[in-house]
Amino acid sequence: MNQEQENFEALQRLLKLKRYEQPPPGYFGDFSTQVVRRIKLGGPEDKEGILEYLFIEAPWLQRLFGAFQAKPAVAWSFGLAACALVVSSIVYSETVEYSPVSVLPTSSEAARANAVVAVPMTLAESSAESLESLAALSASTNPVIQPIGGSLFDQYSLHPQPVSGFAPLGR
Amino acid sequence: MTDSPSDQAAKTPSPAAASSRPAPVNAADEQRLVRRAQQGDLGAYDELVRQHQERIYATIYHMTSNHEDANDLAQEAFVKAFHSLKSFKGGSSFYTWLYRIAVNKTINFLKQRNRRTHMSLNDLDFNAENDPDLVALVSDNTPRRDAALTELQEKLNAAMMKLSEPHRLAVVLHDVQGLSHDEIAKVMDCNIGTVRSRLFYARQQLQAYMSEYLK
Repeated sequence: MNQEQENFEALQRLLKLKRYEQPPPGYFGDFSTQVVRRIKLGGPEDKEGILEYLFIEAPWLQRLFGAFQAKPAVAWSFGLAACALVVSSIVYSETVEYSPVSVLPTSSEAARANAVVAVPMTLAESSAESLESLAALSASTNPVIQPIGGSLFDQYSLHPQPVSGFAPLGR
Repeated sequence: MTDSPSDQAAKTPSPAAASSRPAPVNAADEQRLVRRAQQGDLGAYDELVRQHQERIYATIYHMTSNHEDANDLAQEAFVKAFHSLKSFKGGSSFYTWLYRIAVNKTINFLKQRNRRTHMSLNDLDFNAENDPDLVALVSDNTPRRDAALTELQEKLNAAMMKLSEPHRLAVVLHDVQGLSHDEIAKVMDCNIGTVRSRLFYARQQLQAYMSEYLK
């Protein structure tokens, strides 16, 4: 190291010249006043981005940006890695089987419910019942969701029945 | 690690600036000023600016070789520092923190300016003509010492501007400003080994550029 220092001694003597470079006389007398004035006026803070603040607070970020600027290959590989991460996460999300948690009754439950309802009944009975359930439905303030029957048509319990011209005479 | 004698010699302040510099405050007083400034006391901040204005200006000036740019950047650095004071936790010394802001600002500016280098050099202090080290560099060649020194100043600044920003910064902070390797490592946010290697490489480059004056 001493050898190196000796080698650079002439250069260091030359660099002393830089210390004699001085701003105009009286320059520093007004400097702090100008700084304070700029602070009071609002200064350049507004026009500066958040990036500069981040560079001061997190110097590693500046090194990362510096590496990107100095070596485009680093920026490319970083970009490729980010893309690969996005693509692999999409692929993963599509391959993994999705098993939703059902909050509504399944179709088999609905069929069972219908089976209970699907007892033979007269047209008048079924109409009256349907009207009641419809009234209950329209009066309800519950959120509109698929009813237990699976479809609104099931609420009416319409089932094909043989048509007859004879009305059953009272028993 | 301690600095060599030549490093210690480099720490001596600019002879011309020594007379106008305000009396230095000790660390405790500075902390008190920083705390008051953090609470928005502009009087305290004014005092802090006075304490550090010359060194901050000089660092920026030697990096840009342009007085007008250095003036703007130094003021902006102090304004920026004031607005960022709340984030200063005292983990490093105030002046290291301040240097970092000024250096970041300057490097960003130089990157934006790119290669459009326009020098606007300050005049040499008249004491330069009497410095034996400098006289030895020019007296053999010319009868007009001041003109020779001005020419040498231009060549030196042009050579400095050929260095990359990190290398130039290492030379400015160490050989011109007189900071230790440790302090430079803190300002540049790198390890001491990196500082040493940058300094060595930068000096080699400068020596090659200025070889005709260093015979």
